Amino acid sequence: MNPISPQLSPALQEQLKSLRDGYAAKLPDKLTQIESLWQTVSSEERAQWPADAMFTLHRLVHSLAGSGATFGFPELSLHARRAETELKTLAASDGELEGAQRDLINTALADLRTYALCSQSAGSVEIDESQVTPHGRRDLVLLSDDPDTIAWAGAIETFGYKLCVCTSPRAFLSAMKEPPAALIINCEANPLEARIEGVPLSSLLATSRAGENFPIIWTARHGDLRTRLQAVRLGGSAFFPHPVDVDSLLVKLDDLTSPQSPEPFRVLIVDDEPSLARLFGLVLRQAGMETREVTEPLDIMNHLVDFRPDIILMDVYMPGCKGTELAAVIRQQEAYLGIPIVFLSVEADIGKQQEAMRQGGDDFLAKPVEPRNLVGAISTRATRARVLRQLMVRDSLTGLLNHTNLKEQLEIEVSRAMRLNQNLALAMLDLDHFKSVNDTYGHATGDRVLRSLARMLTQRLRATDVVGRYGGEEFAVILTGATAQAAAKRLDEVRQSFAELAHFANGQEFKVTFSCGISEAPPNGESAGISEAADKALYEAKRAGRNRIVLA
Amino acid sequence: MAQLQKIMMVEDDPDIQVVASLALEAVGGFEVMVCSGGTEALERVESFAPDLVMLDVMMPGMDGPTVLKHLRERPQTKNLPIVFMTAKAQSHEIALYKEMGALDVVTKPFDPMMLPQTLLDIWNSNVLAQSGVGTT
Repeated sequence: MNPISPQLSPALQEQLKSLRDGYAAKLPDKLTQIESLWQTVSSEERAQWPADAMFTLHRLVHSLAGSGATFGFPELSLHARRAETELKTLAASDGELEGAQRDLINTALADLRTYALCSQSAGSVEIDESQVTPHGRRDLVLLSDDPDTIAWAGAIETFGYKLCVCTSPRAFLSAMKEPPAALIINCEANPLEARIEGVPLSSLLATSRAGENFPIIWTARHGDLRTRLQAVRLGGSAFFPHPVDVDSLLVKLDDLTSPQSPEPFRVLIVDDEPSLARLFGLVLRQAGMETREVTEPLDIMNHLVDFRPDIILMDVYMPGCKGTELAAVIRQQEAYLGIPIVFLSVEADIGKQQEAMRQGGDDFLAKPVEPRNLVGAISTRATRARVLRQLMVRDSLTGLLNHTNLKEQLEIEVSRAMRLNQNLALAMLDLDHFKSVNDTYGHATGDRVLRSLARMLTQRLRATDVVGRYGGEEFAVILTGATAQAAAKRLDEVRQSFAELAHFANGQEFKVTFSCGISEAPPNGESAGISEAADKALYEAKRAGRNRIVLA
Repeated sequence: MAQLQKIMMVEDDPDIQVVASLALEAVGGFEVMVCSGGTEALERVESFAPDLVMLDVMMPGMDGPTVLKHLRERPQTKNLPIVFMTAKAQSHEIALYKEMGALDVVTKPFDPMMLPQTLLDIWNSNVLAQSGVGTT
């Protein structure tokens, strides 16, 4: 009586697999039968139930619970068991169906249906695994309970996103095998009640989200608080009521799919006492910030330029120059007017503290500082300063640096490149015949074209490149560490892609090109020279026929 | 000492019928007869003469315990070893089934590949129990 070894011969494995497939193939019909019985039972009073309906329903669910795991679908058994427990109680009693019971059975049956869809798509031949390619960061999945209303799907693709539109649970689950950059859900009904081919969206989502983290954007017919709340509860990061404002949706998508995690805060620490500066630096770095410790107060201007701090932490009493004096000097330069300065001192006298604030300090921290307080004080101020700075320096249409700040940034980058002995290139771009776009299609369309170029520039260039809107239809890009040739190569790729990009307005398709002039930082480090040279090259590009790049 | 060779399985679910009989035949090497309900089982049990009967508890028509009662009433099958198959695996229910005269209870869902071994274990411990009390 030897124990039976569960070693399986290939033939037996094959047989088991085909049994398993057969079982999975029959599942949808079984579930339909269960669901229709449940429909009858749950919508009628007990006295109206057909004879045997309850018994049959219970038996069918019972049989699923008892067989699922045997065929390799353990979760099927689990979900069925949940429904069965309730059905058993119901069958044994004479009472009517209660609300809580109904909900439990409803969700269990919905989970069964969802699970059945998953197990089927996992094993079926309809989905070719080789076709499932990993999603890139521009790849979106759009799930909709109404295929006819997604008029804006095309518009999203125009702006460089790849959209996989799913209108069936099966297509959705297959598309979600790889997490997308973002998931958009379009539903006519309320999010919690929406169903696709009878499967609740909520349970589809729960199935597809296991362990994955991607933003979900909801669009629904109504934008009332209840609907929005439901969307939030189902993991929504953003909500758009119908009709969907495509531009806002795109801005949100850009935000959510942007690969840059927020840069760590950069804190410049100025303290003549090296051990203290190091200690503060250590505390802040442990909180995930970048720090630079300066023990020689008079060096601060250099560090301001190449460390570009978000916030300055400064001792009040230092030899050679007081912190308050240094603050006043920093504040006198427009570029650094907005940078928060936090003083550190053993000063307990409120009057002296206020004096220090008047000199341009934003806050006063008394030594000794609790590490926790230090991190809190620094990060709240740095966060606010970044938001404000964003609003101050960005062009509101494109989100790029505005003219003033681009020029400022150019000066900073040119002097930095000089000191670090690095290359720097400047590209000036101008849309070709943009006036006729505005005249033909209207300004709203013109704005969309501007935004699409802004989007493409920020996407295609490196995170270290500085992109700005110089004015009107003119853009500028500062390419740090790049020669003019390297810059020309990169921008030419952008030029080609942009020229191929189709824009739509009034049902018409049109294309727009740009011309570009590129210059390199001159040896004397004058930023005026470099922008003039780029401007001249841009003019050359226009004169030579547009849609081209010319080096200065 | 008797060997477990012939098994009758009474089960209404055709899926379970197929996978369980496959496992019992191909892995366990047993001779298996499948019956879809109690009535059929009672008609065929004497001619097949199984060493052991597996009875599903919940079946339409005649349920497992009723089949057991009928088997116990017949002289030829009154000592036939019975194993229940059920999803209701609460301990008081298992105790109840054993009180009815079942050898043991196999909990559903079961792993088909382990089923033959499970039945053998039940069979062997039954044989040991009987030899322990010295019956022949």
